[in-house]
Amino acid sequence: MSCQPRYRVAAGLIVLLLLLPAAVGSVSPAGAAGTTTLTFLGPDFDEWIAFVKVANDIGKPMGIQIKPEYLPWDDVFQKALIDSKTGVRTWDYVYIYNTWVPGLAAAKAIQPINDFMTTPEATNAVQPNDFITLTTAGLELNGKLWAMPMLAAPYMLGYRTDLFSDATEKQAFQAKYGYALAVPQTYKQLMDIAQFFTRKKGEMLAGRPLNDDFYGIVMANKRGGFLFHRFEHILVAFGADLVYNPKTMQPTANSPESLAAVKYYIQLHQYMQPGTDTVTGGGAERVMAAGRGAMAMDALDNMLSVLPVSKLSSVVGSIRYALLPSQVPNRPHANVGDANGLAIYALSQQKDAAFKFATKVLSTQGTKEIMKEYPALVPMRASVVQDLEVRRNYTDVYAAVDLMIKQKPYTAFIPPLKEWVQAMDIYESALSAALSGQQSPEDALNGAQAKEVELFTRAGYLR
Amino acid sequence: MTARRRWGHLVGIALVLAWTLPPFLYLVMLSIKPERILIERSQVFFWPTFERYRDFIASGLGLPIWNSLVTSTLGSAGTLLLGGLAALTFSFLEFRGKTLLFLVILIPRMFPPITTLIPIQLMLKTLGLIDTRLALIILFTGFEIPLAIWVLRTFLDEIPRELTESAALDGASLPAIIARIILPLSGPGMLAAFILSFIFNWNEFLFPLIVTSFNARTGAVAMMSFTAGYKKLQWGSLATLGVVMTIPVILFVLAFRGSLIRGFTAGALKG
Amino acid sequence: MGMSWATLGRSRMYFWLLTAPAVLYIVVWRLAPALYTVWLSLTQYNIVYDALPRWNHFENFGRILRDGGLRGSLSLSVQFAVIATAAEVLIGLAVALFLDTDPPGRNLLLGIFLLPMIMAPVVVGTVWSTLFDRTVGPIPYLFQVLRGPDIQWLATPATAMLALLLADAWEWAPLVALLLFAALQVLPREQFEAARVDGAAGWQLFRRITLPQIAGMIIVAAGLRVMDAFLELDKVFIMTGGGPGTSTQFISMFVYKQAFQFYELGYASAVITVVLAALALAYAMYLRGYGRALRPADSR
Repeated sequence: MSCQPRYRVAAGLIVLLLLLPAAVGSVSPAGAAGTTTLTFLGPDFDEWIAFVKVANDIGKPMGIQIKPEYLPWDDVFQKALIDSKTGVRTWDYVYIYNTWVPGLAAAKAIQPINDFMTTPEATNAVQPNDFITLTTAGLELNGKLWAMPMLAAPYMLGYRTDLFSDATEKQAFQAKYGYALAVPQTYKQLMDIAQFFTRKKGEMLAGRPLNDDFYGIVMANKRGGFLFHRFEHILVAFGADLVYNPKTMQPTANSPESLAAVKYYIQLHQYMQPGTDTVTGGGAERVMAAGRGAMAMDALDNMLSVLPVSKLSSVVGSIRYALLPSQVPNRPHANVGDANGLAIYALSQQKDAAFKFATKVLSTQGTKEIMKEYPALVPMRASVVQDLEVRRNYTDVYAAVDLMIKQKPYTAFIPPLKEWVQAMDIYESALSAALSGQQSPEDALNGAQAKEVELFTRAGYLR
Repeated sequence: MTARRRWGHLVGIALVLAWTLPPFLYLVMLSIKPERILIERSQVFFWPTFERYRDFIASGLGLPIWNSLVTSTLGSAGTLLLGGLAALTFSFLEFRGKTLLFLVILIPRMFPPITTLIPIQLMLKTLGLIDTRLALIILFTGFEIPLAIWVLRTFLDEIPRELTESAALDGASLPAIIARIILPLSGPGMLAAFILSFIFNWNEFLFPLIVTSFNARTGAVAMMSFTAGYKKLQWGSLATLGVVMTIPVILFVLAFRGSLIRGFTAGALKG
Repeated sequence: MGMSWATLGRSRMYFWLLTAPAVLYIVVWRLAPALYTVWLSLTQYNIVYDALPRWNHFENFGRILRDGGLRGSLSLSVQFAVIATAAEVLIGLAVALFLDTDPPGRNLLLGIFLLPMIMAPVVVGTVWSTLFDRTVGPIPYLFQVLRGPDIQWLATPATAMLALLLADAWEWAPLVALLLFAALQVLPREQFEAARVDGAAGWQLFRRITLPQIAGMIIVAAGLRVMDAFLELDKVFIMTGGGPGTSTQFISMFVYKQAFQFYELGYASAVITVVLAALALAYAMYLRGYGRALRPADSR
């Protein structure tokens, strides 16, 4: 018995000694002589994987390579923040989401693109006038552009054209509601259609009995950012502020418009899929892709990356995309804008090279190459959208963005408020309580208003 | 009597397995279910697909896993060393303020990482240790010290005092006592502490996330980024992630279960 | 029982030498950052927008007293910790007793039973949120097939708490079982034989002989679990995100939100300082009172 432990200890010590040199010696990145390596910090999304691939293809003859570090989405912000605060200089490029702009800009973690546009040549490379302002305004702050726009994520309504054009359904709808079944233009129509198509297993749909329950509308309402992110479009459509009035800095969480929007959402909630309160974007789209919903309200690229993909979807070819409906007349097809871009890390040691290379990869030609790798990319350059090749090969994207450009929906952006996340969280908490029936919408919103006032007072915006 | 006992054992075993295994088995099932029928719960039989695992392996996990291995092992070794020394003090020495000292060691662990992240990151940067395995080893050494102290102290308490006291009376120096008497008898305890802290180091996510980027990235971080944030959150790949993260640890524990249990029960010294 | 400070003599130097590295390490890498956190609690520091922490005296603590959400979180955490620990002790004890009867393949069985405990907490959260998921999860499906009520598992306050408790019991009952099994194993067998000869059986054996001797270990295990369950974060984060509303917003979720989402490090530090101070106090009293129970029942 006393023999074995000694053997074990000896064996253990030998293993440790062998590992020691491996531990201390760090692996230095193998770079061929003459290559510039640019590092990229971002999420492991398909569009960024495509970006890195295309960038490396473009960069090979130039001797430039991109080395990506993929992290979970929320952690990208934290890492960029903490690294820049503690003086870590690893990064050159950082992925940025429009709501992160005020924070990272204030923390001086990223450098605005304008700082690089010092010569006409540089400005031409960026082609700032080519960006579709509807989508890029979210990446601007204080008159500066903080990231090279890459992917727009406008919220739209995906719907089953096969169901909407089915004769029996159209007849039944006309009979029940008194008007023709068509793409909903108002939220009232959306509610009617959602109600109409919500059916139980065994009932008929388009002439065939259902194998499973069918839902009027499929959405992702998980608490913790998703819920509010979907609801905010309806909030804005009903004429309410995004939690507060930016001119007076007065919170308006319990304004009549806000209350109306919440009540509407509670009603619409009955026609959503059962898992809606715990599911995120991808999960909701899976349900739609399995053919279980008549409509889906989500970011366009979310829908495009699942619904038309034959490996994942049973409804390929049956989905078309429309603008969100309207409620208040002076805010047609209201939505809240979403943008994703590539920012230059403030402590980067190769800023100019990074800037030059970024303009090349995210130029019209480069963007088209990226679209080939990732067809669900919704580009933010007008030249790309109008390009003949794109119009031909990516009809869904073209049709959707074209709608946006032509119809000019009312687009709001998340305000660059320091306390935005807290303000949003308070509201979302109230919304969640009202949705689950824990509180009446009036009580929930009044409670939220009180907390918002306290927050704003503490932040010094109110006396 | 024996038949009833056997029946009792069978029922007991069945209950334990029924409680522990189904959740994990469901995860495995989800990970090999083809994407299109993923949400059809009634379909329990299907032709499995291993493409998710293929994607996983293709995403280059070699270096991160090696990093995890190295840092977890050496970190646990450090934990054993420091924790062992501290455990000796707690076990063999009487002094006032023992409780206070233990609390001082225990409490810092409960501070949520975000607040301690920044000073630690700053310290590492000053030492030039950002994105190195050494940094992780240094951090890992400390994380499970309270656990190590607790396990080892329990074990050390079992060593009969007569042995050490008689050796002290005979004039043996402290290092000699430790090396000749205490060390050989504490094998199972040390192994148990090592295994447990290894597992916790292996699963550690937050500190490696912030402190490393390319070179010293660990398996846990690499695997978490595979699920690609909110957009692509799909049950299938999440399930695969869960399985891949857990398999190494499972195998490890099952392989060393005997020593682990012995380390806890200190049975080797009694009876 | 141990050597006292006085009798050590020359060996005192060795003890210092042996413990110095550990002490040094702990002071630099564990204590200093923790003290930094305590210092932060006296400042206003939004890590995104404030370049440097700004001294604001006890403003944060005043805010703590007025924060209803914080009080709610604390009470939720206490409830969760107590109920979860109770469940884990019961289940762990049952399994430990079973294992003590030496069933075939006992070591393997214990090894398997330990698996939930060694899985990464994130994975445990993922597993259980999938199990309860109304689109992919088998539990809602089972209810559906058996025509049970259509429950919004993770979206109703009561059932969300239940789900969290179940997941926690699944994950941590093994720890309790391991500890209690260890305690059971060192009980001398003779006393059981003697008692049986005297005519005692089953329940009496347990109550009069087993229970008093492992009581110490039960309290140790319960103490460990209450503290950890009180600070539970990973599972809540993944399964409910604190919702619906704030019905499962435990204290750790509250701090997480303050620190990682609102980036108010000053306030978060204040909250954590207060909570940990209270916890430390409770734990100190518990250690004092049951100091002897830290060692398993022995025959000294």
